[in-house]
Amino acid sequence: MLRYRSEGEVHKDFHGLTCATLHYLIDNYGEDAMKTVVRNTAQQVYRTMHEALKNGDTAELEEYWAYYLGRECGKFAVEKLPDGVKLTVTDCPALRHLVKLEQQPDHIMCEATRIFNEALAEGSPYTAELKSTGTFSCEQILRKGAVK
Amino acid sequence: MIPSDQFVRFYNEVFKFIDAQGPEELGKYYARVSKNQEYHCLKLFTEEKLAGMYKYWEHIRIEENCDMVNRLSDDCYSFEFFSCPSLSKAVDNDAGPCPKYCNHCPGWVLPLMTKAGVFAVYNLIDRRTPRCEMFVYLTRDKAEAKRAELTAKYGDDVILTNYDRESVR
Repeated sequence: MLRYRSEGEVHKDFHGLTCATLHYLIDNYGEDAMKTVVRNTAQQVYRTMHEALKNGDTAELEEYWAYYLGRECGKFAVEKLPDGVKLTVTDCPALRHLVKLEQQPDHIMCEATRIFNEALAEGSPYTAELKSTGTFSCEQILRKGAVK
Repeated sequence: MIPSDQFVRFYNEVFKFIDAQGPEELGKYYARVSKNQEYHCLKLFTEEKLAGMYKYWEHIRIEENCDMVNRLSDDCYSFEFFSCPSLSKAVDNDAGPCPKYCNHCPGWVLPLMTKAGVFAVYNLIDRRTPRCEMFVYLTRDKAEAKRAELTAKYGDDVILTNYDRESVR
């Protein structure tokens, strides 16, 4: 069950500020600063999801992907694997909204997602991997053991 | 992806990290956020003044699901948040809220007010509860009168203006 569930309108302009903030952290405090903040977000804000993964349970992560990508009208599929879970994003709403804000589809957002997923999976039986498959698309996989 | 709905809880972690880097650091970050917000607000605020502010925060009221009211008269724009969704999310958070969370709003808003050539008085009321209000005037004397009234009621620590204070930290 999701720990946080938002309703009503979606204010996608926050993607612009997320992107600017990730750059701000790197530019002013170094790459490790950005990693630390994203890691803290994954493990402390999403504590229940992190703990569930450590116990081998991917249900909250699957629900999180489906709920929030759905609210942002992304094109995606969540698939249960025999040894994990896979998110296929064919049109990323965050990168798409950056373009609407007259910004580049900045892949620092993808890098933050990779760090976020790895931090969520830390200490769990899963290994996280993010593969870019295009400007607005990717595959995110959490699989038991090493990702092949 | 950090969902838009979850941005606030990420932002809250950003504040905690930056505040730990030194006493001046949050102020510098707010300045960067304010610069970012120019894309959304500066033209509107500069060209349409109080009416432009009303338009912007009406858009925010709807899109950010805010329990708030916007008021506009010939000489004043004001808003009042009865329940700020941003601080509410920061508080409803397994990582816990940053004690300075509320400062970010005047931190980005007040520099924009200066650039728009108006006089703003921001009342945070209490940084632990999701309520605040702001009054914007075209003349300094009216802002001063409002500041005096609010300071007497709420205390100096929670009243911020864009015309006689150093940057928000």
